[in-house]
Amino acid sequence: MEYKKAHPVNIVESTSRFYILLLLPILRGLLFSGGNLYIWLKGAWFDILIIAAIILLGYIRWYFNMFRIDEDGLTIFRGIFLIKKEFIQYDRIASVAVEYPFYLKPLRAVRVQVDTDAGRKRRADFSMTMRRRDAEELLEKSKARLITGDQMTKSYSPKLFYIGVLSLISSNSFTGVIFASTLISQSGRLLGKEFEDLIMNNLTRLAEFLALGLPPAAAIIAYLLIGGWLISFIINIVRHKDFTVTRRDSSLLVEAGIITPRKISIDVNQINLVEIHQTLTTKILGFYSVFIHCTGYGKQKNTISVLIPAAEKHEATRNLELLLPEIPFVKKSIKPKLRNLSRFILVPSVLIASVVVAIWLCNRLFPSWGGLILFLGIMLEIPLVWYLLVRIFSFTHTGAGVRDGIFTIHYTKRFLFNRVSIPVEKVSKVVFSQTLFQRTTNCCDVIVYTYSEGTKKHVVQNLNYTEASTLLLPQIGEAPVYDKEK
Amino acid sequence: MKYCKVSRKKILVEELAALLLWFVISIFPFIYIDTFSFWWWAVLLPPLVLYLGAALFYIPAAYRNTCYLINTSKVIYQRGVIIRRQQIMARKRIVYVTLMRTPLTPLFHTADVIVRATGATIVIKYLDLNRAKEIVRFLAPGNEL
Repeated sequence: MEYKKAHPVNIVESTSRFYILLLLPILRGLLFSGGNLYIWLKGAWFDILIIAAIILLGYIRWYFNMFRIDEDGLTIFRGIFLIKKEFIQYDRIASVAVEYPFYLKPLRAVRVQVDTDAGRKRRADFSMTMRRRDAEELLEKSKARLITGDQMTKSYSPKLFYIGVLSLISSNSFTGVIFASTLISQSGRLLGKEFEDLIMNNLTRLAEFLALGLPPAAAIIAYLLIGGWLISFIINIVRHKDFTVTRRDSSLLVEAGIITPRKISIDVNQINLVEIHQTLTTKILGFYSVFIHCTGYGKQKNTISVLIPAAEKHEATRNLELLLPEIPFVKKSIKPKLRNLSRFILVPSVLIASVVVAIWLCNRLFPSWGGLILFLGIMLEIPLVWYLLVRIFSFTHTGAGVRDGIFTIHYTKRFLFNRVSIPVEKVSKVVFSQTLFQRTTNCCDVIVYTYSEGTKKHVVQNLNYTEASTLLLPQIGEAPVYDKEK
Repeated sequence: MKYCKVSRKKILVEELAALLLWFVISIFPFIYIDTFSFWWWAVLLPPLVLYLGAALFYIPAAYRNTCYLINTSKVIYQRGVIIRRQQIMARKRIVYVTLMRTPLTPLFHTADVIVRATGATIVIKYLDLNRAKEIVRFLAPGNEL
């Protein structure tokens, strides 16, 4: 079988960051030369030469970057002076992700990422922009061994409302602010400093106009946060619109996105765990978001490894049984004892009391600033009271259970309620951690390390040590050898 | 189940390290502060108290609490004084085992064993060199029963 080359757009992609800054002054020069090519060439010949050299280097790099899609794996051949030949067997591939950016559609080019359990944590083992037909061939061949035709195809597609709920949970101001600032600074770089200043001035004027009696600086920060969050929310909606999961034998195909659609093919045997995430709000409203942990899924820029964006309990349970019956959720058989409730609420309670004392003290010391101190104190107390509520709920939420080689743990991480179901053979290490204070009531924190490219750990706090060790120790020692054909 | 202790040289090494650290910290008050003044005592006493606490209580207690168990199905390593941690790894999860010789190996004849699984690691420190070699041979993947 012949080696294939990456899509020629790779030449532009791999070199664009070097010549984009040179290209713009050259084009501006062409615009102002009045169409006189000689004058333009006389002034810009050196820049043009450098651009040509950069493109030539990109071409050489592209020429020596090849791959071959075999029946049993993917062979990669790259390098000019230091030649590297790599082979990835299909049964070692955990996921294949294909991204279809809108601007590459006319060129019939797509981005492909192939990942295995080995390699770096933050980078895919193989990534390339290739021709669409090659990517589809790779996707089909890597899936072929997973599809035996024994089982019927099962598919799940959530309503837009549920995508909205997921976006609500996963959006944060920071991502939006970063996106907006990149947009403004990049447009400034391309269209000139005046344009960037124009946007910034208009935004500042708008914030001053909408200040509604607030100090302009505070209003700008508030609107920046709200605006950032809104941008992030919209990005998440666009990214997960038309979300569909299809299960066929041992293959799971996730499709999502409208502007940049993407397909991710996952080997079900390589899924390390299933997680249910809930915030306090979604817990009260009864919404569940289900995520999976599989190498390569969620590694692409700004993506999350979601399986069910959001659903009510019965719907989430039904769809999970449909899509991933291998990893069910087991009922809790051990929970924290009532006498350990204080361990859950002690830290937020002390923090709340400290803020109250600090407000009282500041009021006594600076009586003229009473209004401001009270306002800041209340603003500080709100997240602390919220945290206290989370910790109270956490006491009833925390626990663990084991059945038929599946280990389910329930715990909270900061403000998030997690339920994680792990096949016992995917548990790498278990740590029982006991502080001096915990020893008095015989409770401990159970830290579960799971199969992962990096380190992925789950901390279940304040379980009874005797109960936890009795439940877990036999499971760890007697774990069956991981059987791919299971 | 019978837990094994690590080498007694752990106490010696850690006592020496603590003494060295205290000595380095205590040099500064002698050089920069008037001897027997209030600030001299204020700077000198806390490290001395900390050193004595570590040398007389913490290091011996840490040795007493450090032990390991390696059998055909799992590796258990526990340590810690204020926070006691018991780490457990199934034999079948082990990917590879490393024998780590430190600069102190020729002097004290001790070495560390690093047991690695995908996503987790256990480091058993201050083992007698021959015992460490035995453990590495015993834990090598494919050797499990």
